Amino acid sequence: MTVEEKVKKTDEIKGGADSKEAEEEPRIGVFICHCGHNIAGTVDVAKVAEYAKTLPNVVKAEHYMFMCSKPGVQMLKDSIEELGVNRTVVASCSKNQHGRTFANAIQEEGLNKHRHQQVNIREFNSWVHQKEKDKATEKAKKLVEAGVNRARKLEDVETRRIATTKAALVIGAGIAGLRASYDLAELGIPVYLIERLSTIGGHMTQLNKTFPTLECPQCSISPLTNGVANHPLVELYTNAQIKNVGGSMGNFEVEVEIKPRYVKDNCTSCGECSAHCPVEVPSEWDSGMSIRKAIYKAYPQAIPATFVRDKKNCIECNTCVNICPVKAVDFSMETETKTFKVGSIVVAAGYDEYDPSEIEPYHYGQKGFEDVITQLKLERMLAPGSLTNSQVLRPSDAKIPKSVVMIQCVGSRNDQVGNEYCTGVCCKFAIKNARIVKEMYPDTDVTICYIDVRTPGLNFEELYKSAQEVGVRFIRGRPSEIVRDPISGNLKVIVEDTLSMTPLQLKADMVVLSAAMVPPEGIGPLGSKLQVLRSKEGFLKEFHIKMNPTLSSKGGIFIAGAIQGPKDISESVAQAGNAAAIAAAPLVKGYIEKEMLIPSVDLDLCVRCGLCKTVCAPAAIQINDDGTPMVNEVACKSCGMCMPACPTGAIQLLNFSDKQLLDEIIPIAGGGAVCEDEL
Amino acid sequence: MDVRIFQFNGCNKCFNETILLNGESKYKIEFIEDPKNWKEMKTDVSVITGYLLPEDKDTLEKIKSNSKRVVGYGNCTTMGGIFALANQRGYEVSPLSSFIEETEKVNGCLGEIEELSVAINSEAAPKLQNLCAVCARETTCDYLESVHRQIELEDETTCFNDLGYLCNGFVAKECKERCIDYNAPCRGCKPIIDRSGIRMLGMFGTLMGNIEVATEHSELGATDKLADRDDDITDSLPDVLGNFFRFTLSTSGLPRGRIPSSGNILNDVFTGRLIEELPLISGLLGGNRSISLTLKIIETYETANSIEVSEQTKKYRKELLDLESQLQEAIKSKDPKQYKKITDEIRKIGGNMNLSNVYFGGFKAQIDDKDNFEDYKAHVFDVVEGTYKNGSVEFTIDPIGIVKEIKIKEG
Amino acid sequence: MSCEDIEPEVMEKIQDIVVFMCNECGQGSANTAGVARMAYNPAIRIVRVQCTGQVGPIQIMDALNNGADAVACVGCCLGACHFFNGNILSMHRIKLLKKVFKELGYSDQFVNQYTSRAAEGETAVGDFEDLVIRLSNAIREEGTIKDGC
Repeated sequence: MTVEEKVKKTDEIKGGADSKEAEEEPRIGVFICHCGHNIAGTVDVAKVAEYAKTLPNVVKAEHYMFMCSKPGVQMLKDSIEELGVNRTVVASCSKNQHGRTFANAIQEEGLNKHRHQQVNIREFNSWVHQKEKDKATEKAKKLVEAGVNRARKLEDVETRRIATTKAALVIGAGIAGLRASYDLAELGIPVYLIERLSTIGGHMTQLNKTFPTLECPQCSISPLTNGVANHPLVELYTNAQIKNVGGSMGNFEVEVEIKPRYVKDNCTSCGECSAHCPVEVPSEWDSGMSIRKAIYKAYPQAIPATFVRDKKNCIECNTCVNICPVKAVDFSMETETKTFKVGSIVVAAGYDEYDPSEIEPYHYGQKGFEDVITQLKLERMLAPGSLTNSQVLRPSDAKIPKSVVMIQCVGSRNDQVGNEYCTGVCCKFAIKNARIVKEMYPDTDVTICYIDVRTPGLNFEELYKSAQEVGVRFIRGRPSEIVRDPISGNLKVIVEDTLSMTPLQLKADMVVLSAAMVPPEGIGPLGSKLQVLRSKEGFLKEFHIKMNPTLSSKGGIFIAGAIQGPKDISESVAQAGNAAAIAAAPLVKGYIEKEMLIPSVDLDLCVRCGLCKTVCAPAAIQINDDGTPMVNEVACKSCGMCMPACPTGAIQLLNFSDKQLLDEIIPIAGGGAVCEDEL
Repeated sequence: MDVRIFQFNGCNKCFNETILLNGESKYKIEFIEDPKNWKEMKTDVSVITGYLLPEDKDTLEKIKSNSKRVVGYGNCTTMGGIFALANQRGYEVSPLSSFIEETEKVNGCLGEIEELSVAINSEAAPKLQNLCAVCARETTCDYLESVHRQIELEDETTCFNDLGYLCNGFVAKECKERCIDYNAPCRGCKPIIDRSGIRMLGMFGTLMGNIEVATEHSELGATDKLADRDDDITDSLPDVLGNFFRFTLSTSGLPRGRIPSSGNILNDVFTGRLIEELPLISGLLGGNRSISLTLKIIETYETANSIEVSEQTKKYRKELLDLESQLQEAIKSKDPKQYKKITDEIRKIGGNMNLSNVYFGGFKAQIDDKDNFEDYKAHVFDVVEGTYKNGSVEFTIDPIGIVKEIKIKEG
Repeated sequence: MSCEDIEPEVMEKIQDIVVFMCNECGQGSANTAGVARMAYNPAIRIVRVQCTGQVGPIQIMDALNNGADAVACVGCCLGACHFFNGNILSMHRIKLLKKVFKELGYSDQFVNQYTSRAAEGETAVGDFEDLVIRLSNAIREEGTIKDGC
């Protein structure tokens, strides 16, 4: 059979829901597997098969050594051919193990694969009741009867193909968003890249060196920033935010609000406007370590290179408008709203550095404590072209500090601030920065106060050792307080060395806080627009931590990078690549195959309360104008949570309806009404 | 057409309501108040009212064998009704269908007389919609943060359930004795589905999604499990049976209760109920005396806890009591016109024959457009533990407002 | 106390326990337990559901009305439901159902909810053991749920 023929054949089978077969009388074939001795050694399989023969609608009941073997599967197929069996029950191992083997087999014979009922008498029976053979046999009979009852009413489940829109939207142009955009574009998928800020590159561009190799991050990222900015399939929108998201997996409609730069694209990036602008404000990109103008470019290498006007701080003196040699500055530009039709969405909204001012004893941001800074600020100080000319200077008096104390786990591993998690990268960047500082200023004492040093992975223990070798001091203990001598203004870090049980007061000319990575500002509204769920810490929750770490709770929406939880650059890049690949799959293929195992609503019974919408986590149920629920068959994840929520039982999941479950429950529960006069 | 109407046990209100059929020329009606000693005779339609106990089996079979058709009228007969709450304490109040095959049943407390006529004439019953379809309140069913046992009457547009105030309207059919019109939530006397209480349990349990449920660590499995201790879920719904299964306990599939009985079915129905639900329950149970019983309970509690009652409230309450004694006469004479006139008056003040409008401290809804409602409006009141006694009624409530014991002297 | 300590006359009354296990961690842990040959009481019968959030009081009462001695739901760990909060919502409903049994004068141990971890068979087996022990205590004190009807 050629590939086309195979596809054609499966297509024919998948259209099963409309076929006439649904109404015909059930003819059930029951097959009991010995699984060698695994089942037959405990369960009397012949007895179970005999019992199965007595059950209504059972036209064949057999037992066989290995049902999953070729001859076993052939028995299944033959029964369909020879006896007109239209529902099969195989009592063998778990559904995960061979359920699919048998379902696929009956599909090859032209039956809908959902007409197969797998009964687990190995993991759930023979293997766990090896010493109670009689009881295991009785239990197997009941389980088989339940399976037969269930099979009797099984309905075909259609697998539908939904055409997808061949375009993707990536939210966030940090390292994860850039990587995902580039990979998607390279797969031939048009990408709309949405960035909240005026430049792309994210936190990575702010760094001085990347661990463990102490490479220049600007050099590492620039091929990617340039690659994305110049890629013919990537449309980049900066100063842009998501306004509304409609549709579902495969076909989303996203409304994006794009704020104006007030500088047109013909800007030559000459910098005249900025040079003459009279307004000076601290640079956000530089973590406040330098100043910028009201019309500015975040940093010389920024992409897009077009300048941007900060409307909030602009005094509208019109100097820039007049001075621009190409007349690119235009105050009349307005906010634009664009709608993009895309098939997949990748969320790579990144992280924020934790604001340590919440931790009162460290006095971060308070007067007199200017020399308490965060690691990101230290990175900005050390970076090439910084205000300090890459020197480490105390913010209070611009002197080189004689002692630097770094405090770990600021905002991480801290129940009091509500972040139980370990950010995981702080040890690495603190050690990296400590080594850099120590190497620059061998006379300066550099100390790291840690709870545990966590440097797993290739090359990181080596980094740790190299820092120890150059003389960085490590003290195990979480500082209780940073105090300031009111007269001299000197800072001291109060810490107990918990290894030697010694209370210490560390003189510190400068204190560097290794602040946690926290969910970015605005993730709440974004999450609700996307209708994706968030973890209790506020990061976007992955569908499954192990098996689907890049899929969000909602189909078609993928997550990459630190938005899913703290990550370093390598992890973000790897995750972004994976997100791009799985986001691309349905778009490259052109369609999504979705099993229509979805609930249906009996409108006569529906009382229009709307609770089914409330409980639906993937937001697959929406309420129509007349109050009735509408199931989005693409978004539905077949969990059935809407069923018990319904006060009248009007909403029922296909093949898991109350009636079908009851049929299955009856033999399992013991087989009949307890006290009939009462029921 | 020969119609024989039998009153079995319990409150007479449905039986009384059938007086309205009296005098209609197409029926030859006989009222039988003592079915046990009924002299058997062939009949076209037998109407059964009142709750049924196992000892009624023979009588019911006798009726069945003599009747072309049997109609169950009112919840007590069709589903055990409110008296089936005594099954919590070992009684065996059972629906008619568990004794004999009934031809038709007319649910409701009270059953609606128009529906009974339709059933007697074996006409096709009109299809009734869900109560929410006729309710003025709107629902969103967002998860609740808390549950309330009483609400202030200001908000008349939000669904009771959205206010955190349990209403069974979702599982009820539209009706004439509509509690919801009197700011009282529906207790589901006309269920739209089987096992409505169980369904509602699932629904309301889900709706309470944002209320924290107690969990605990399981040593054996070293995982978590549902804790047995009380939590906000159980504390906010102290009487699940009385609120979810008020009329359907004997048909919901729940096993018969094992709590010792007091020996008196009326007391057993009242015990375990909540103080704020008492007026409506006594309005249901009191039969011919429901008005005086309800007012007695209310006034006893009001006096003991210094809940002030306005002159206007007192006036309306007195009118109700007067109407009750007039009603006795009408029942005795079986005069449909008189009966209709008086019950209409009662409905005007009390809301319906179950007195949904009558409450502690006043009334729940405006009685007359000319009134100033503020003059007799009921408000949220405090639950005060104690024993309350006033002549023929004595009851004890515990700190959370559950009736622990009640004594009602007959008459 | 362990299951071995339960008197034979009590054990005899534990015949059918219906356990609704979700398609994810519930089924997963029971499969793991099977692969590791961890023995448990044959009265335990597992029904596969998509999520414990799919199980309502209707299913639980169906099981009890049809002869089950006890019913339990086993879902994913708290916070790890594969469909967000199905296990928690199920707990809410079962809590109310437990209350119903208490109000009827029964033990509240005829319905329970547990969690398990797919990779650890002992979590499922521990849940089953706990279930049987609790049920045996209830039976010893007041008889089975079927007694007296």
